Amino acid sequence: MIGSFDQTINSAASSMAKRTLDAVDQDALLASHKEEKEFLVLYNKKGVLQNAAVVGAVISVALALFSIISAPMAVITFGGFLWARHSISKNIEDMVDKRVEPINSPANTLRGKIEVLVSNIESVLPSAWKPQHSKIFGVPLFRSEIPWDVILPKPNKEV
Amino acid sequence: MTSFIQQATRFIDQKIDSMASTMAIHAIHAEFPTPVEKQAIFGSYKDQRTNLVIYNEKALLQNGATTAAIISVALALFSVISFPLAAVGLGGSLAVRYSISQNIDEMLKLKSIPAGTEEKEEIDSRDLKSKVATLASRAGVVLPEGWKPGYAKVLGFPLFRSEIPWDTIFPRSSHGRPVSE
Repeated sequence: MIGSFDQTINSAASSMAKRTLDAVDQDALLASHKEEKEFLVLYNKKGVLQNAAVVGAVISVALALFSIISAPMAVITFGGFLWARHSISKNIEDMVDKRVEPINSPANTLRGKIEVLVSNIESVLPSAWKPQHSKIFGVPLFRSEIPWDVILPKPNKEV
Repeated sequence: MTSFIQQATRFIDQKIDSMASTMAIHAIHAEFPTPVEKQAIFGSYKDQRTNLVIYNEKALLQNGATTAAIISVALALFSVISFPLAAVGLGGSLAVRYSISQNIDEMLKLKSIPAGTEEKEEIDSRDLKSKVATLASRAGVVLPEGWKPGYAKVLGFPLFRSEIPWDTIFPRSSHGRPVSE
């Protein structure tokens, strides 16, 4: 295993050194001490390989540190935003209920309640409109907007 | 405890109401800047229409919180996956670095000099700089005065291996052309 890895290192460094040596004026530079100079080029190229491995190790350490810090932070943030989402959702439901209940509406779904509120301004919800969308495991993720032209019907004007 | 939770819930509700109201005012004002336009569009149902605009702004807030929660899940998943990957990567990189370092050390042992001789033992016992200097001198190359075999020390340990300057191995004239030997 180690022997084969050594061969891989030698082969990679040799091919890198060969490319460098090919670019050098052979007659002028390698006339004397040819083998020794090739040896020094090989040393440099192996140094480049080793430095690349060190860079890989440094990146891995940075990634590991990032993971260690970001995992608990992500869990805390997830909890926080889930809680915020729940609070906003409850606030919206309460707001809608507060507006609809005094009217003694029989509506018991969110769409029914919104329909009542929209009918109060003499407007009509589109039949295909759903109060929530993008379901995952049957749970809708996002809340739909009431179309702006339903709230503020004016030609060529949208909020 | 229950009272504290109730107070916190009330405070958050007030914050949500306040944020949604501000957003609604901005949205309405951006689209209908003058009172005349506002009156024309909101007509006699000002309160009811404003409440529906606030509903939309609160929906926007809720969707923002949902998006942030989804991003947090993605970040958590990435972190959970990336940690073992980083550990494996670190181990692998260190192993590779060690192997290359060993390979270079082995390469620097002058094989042209027979093992067991005094000269061989003397050369092998030198530090890295001396070994490289010896090899360089055999190639007719003199290392620069301040050249060090490693740099970027962390805890006294050099992280990176220095190159032997290319200009030293292949000297060039002042015109940048290779100097023939």
